[in-house]
Amino acid sequence: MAVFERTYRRWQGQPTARAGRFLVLFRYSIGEVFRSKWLTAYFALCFVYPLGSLLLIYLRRNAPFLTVFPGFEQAIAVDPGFFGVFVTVQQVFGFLLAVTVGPGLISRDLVNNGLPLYLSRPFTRGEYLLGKFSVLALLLSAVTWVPGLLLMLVHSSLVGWSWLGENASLVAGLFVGSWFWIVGISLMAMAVSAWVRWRFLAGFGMIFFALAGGLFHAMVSGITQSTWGYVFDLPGLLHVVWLRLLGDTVATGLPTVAALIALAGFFAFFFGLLHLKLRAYEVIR
Amino acid sequence: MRPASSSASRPDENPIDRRAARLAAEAEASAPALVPTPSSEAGSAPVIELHDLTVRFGRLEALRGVGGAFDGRAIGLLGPNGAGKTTLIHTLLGFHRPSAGSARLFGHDLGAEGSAARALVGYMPERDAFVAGMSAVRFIRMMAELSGVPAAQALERAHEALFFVGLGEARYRPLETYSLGMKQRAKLAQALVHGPRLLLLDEPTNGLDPPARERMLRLIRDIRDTGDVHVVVSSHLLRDVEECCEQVLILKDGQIAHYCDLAAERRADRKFLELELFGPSERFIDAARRLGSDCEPHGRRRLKMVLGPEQSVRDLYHLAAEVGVQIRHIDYKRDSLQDIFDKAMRGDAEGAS
Repeated sequence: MAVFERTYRRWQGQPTARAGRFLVLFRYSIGEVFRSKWLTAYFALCFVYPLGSLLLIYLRRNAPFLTVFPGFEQAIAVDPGFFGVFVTVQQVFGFLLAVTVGPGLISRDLVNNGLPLYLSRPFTRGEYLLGKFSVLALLLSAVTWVPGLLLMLVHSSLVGWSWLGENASLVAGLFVGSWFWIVGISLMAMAVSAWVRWRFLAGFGMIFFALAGGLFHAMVSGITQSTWGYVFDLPGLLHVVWLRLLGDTVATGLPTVAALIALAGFFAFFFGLLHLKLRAYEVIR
Repeated sequence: MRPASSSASRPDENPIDRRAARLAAEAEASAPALVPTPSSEAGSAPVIELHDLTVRFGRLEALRGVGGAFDGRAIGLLGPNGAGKTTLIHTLLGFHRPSAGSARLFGHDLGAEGSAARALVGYMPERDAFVAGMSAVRFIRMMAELSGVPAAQALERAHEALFFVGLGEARYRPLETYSLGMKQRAKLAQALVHGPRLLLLDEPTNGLDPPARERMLRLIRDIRDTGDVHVVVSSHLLRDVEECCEQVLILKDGQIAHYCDLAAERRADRKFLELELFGPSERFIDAARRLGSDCEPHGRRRLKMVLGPEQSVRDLYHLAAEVGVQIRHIDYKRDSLQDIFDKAMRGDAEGAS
């Protein structure tokens, strides 16, 4: 129908597949994220360290360079410690990325009462969360395991493909640890923004949550003279689990099982908050 | 519509009301609007089917055993605050889970086939509802895609819907810059964009100035008149409902207080007159009854009257002259929606006492 006719008519076409419906929300949300030039610039900045690491990996196998700096290859070891530093740096970049992007994803819908519009369609709360989570998962993947695995592939191509097989646990650790971290940080971002609603306050709320956890961790650990304070510190816990998966067994004295149970507790807490707050209607008590 | 809930409306002993009720029944029998309107898609399933629907929030029962099958083309949902109008709409959208009973939309059970039911529904919420930072066309397009419209067609539909509601020129503006009236129309556009078969409009004229309100009502009437979509309008404003609805469902305290077909009511009350007489009114009443009119004294000098099929108002003046009575005042009256609403509220109170 031509727009000038301006009469109502029903649409009677074949609807799209239900399974991929959350990707619609993902597509629109990611488009909104990259409308900000500042955020795009920051996102580009997140690749500085991976590019630097890539350069180091390349140079330590570059013959002309090594003739000038012969001790370079020995000085830069590509081992679990190298990737431990990589994930530590990228965690910081990634966390700030989540602080910038995360709060706007949900709070913008909540503050303008947009949820009834989503949920009055054949679209569930689970799909809504999945669509929003996908945005953070893509962005955080792009700054964590994707460049990490690329570094491993490049290194392996330079030193021999057998390196990948010999360091399979390192590869798997980077991938699995990244996903623990991505899920944890994304859930925190979504839960805080659903709870606080106001975008900027939600960003500060995330930083506060991380800092308060760290502070509580330091207090408990100081009082009990143990490492159990980690169970109150989500970013710390995620970092410990990640380093453990990368093969760093001396990260803390906290048992891995205890760290995983504490993480599960945090995840359940965030899901509970989201369940309470992501409703199509206001609960007036 | 076949309401199954406890209804407050009772047959009245008044002959005028009896006559009106008889005419209403005749009109109802001939009214196509009340007859289920099976389309090739709909089959024979009613638009809305409620079975003993109860919704509780803690100790509060927002809906109490509401039942009935509703097939009307445009149903007005009326009731005082807290009557359960919004709860009913939210329950139909799957926002609230029924504490007891069940509900169906076009034959789809809301519990088992909630998504399939919601695919057929467009919803315009009462409060401001939009996604900030988006242009209207992008917002409407996203909503269409979330309802299952393919991306390219969603864009076309978004433009069409915005032109239809009169926002064509402003469709690239961010939604947060819209005035209240424009936001209301944008909400209507998002409710329409995927071509629903049932449109649930919660207070569509809320906060609108008179021209914007009139425009919104005209849009609702246009949608209703296409015959493609059923409309449920929840409103506090009786006049809004009267202007764009064919049936009225009145809720009170979470129950159906009354249901009626406005068109049939209008037809039934077409010759309902109120007269003020001076002189021997008894003689006038006797004479009028002999001619086939139904008369009911209403106070000392007032008279309610339903004219016989062959009678006109002119005949009343002749009759008055013959019996020596002066007609001081004569007025066409019909049960307005306000009367119907008041009666439903009162009837329920009487029934409860």
